Amino acid sequence: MKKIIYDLDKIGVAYRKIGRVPWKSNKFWALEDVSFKVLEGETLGVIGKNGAGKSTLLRLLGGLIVPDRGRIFRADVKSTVLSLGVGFDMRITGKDNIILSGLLLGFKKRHLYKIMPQIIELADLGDFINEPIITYSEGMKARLGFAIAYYAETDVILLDEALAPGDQEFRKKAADMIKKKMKSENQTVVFVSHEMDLIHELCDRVVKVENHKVVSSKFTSQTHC
Amino acid sequence: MKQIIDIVYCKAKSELKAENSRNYAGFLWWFFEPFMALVVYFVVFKCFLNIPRDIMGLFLGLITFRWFSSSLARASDSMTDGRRIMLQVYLNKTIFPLATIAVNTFKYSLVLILAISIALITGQSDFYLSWITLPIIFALSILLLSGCAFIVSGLTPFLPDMNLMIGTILQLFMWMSCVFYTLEDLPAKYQLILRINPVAVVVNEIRNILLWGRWPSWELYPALVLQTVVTVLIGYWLLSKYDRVYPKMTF
Repeated sequence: MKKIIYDLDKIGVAYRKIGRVPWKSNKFWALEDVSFKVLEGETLGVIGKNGAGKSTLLRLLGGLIVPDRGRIFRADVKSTVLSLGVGFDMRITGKDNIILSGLLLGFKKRHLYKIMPQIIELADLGDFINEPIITYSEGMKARLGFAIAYYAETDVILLDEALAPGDQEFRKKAADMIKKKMKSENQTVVFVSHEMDLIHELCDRVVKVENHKVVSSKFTSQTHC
Repeated sequence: MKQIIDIVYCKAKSELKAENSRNYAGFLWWFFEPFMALVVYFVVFKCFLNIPRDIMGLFLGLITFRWFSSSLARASDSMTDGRRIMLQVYLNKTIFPLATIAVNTFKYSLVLILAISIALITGQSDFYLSWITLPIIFALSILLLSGCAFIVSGLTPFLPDMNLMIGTILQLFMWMSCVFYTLEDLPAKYQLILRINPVAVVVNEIRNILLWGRWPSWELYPALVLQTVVTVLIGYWLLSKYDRVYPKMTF
């Protein structure tokens, strides 16, 4: 029997906006009454409209936030939300940002220096790697962000629409690489996307989030959105 | 712990590099800023009010206080500035105030080394044996500053007004922190009040030991150590308690 990685039981998550007086905060429920499990080695797709609560779900699974209602079980595994450009500082060089962003993503410093040439090669920015990233185009920033996030070592990949940045050529290369990583043996993945083709191609199961609630949880062959 | 130190170091280094490249004078501003403040106070005291002041003593007091005040003013914003990162990765929340302290401590160290070098060259100071006690007061100062920064940064998301209040409070504290006078200059009854202000004790001690080669006033240390420990514990408790709540707050 496969190990349970996440078990969510009637979860509710609220964001708070400070009110006019400190003791009165306005709560906004981003998730309500959400229950499902994720098993080891499973690739779970999360679909839903913008603002439905998909990113909040990833933050919850990644341990960035705690629920306000319900119970969550997280197995003792390392899970990382693979976001592009975590903590990027526009004023410093691409190389310095690799160190900063890598550390924030949980890389060990020594390991980061070791894989720096591979990250630089994958980002393919030429001499721009020594320039402040404020001089980069959006595509270049995304490529650098992808190259760093790709090398993150984690037991559970939590991916938020970060599959394929940059121009067409890089997008194809990045998509192939991340797909290979997602399909590697026993890799657990929770993948948020709007692209149904990708969801069908990569995911074993799909949960649909609508109006801050999980409205369906089906195996991909049965899912119609 | 090692990861926290690495991130704080890297964030501080990035911030210093970025500050350095933002304007033409770069890191020279780290020296100009306190020096210009010193000129203003010196003109007011010496020229306008004709109150004799030891300029190096005033400078040391001023830069030590500014080390505290700049760190706390920046720390109050650190959690709100870091919210975007908090929503992307999990980070121990002490990282945000500690990074601002690291930046300001680096700047303070440079200015302090320059000031004491000038004092040595001009014969206003000497290599004193009492300097061997400096690590104690500096370690206590950094811990006290960290505790205060934890509290300020941890409260600001709940009390956004803290950001504005902190400026006024620090202004008031400047006049109560032995910047413009020494503890020993004051009448006994006022000394008692200032002795319970840990920042006043820190400023006074650093100046006494470093510039004038005095030995630490050990009788002040039990209260200072107690205040430091309590501040660090309260600050750490606050950041730990709301560790995973801060990302859910829209400040």
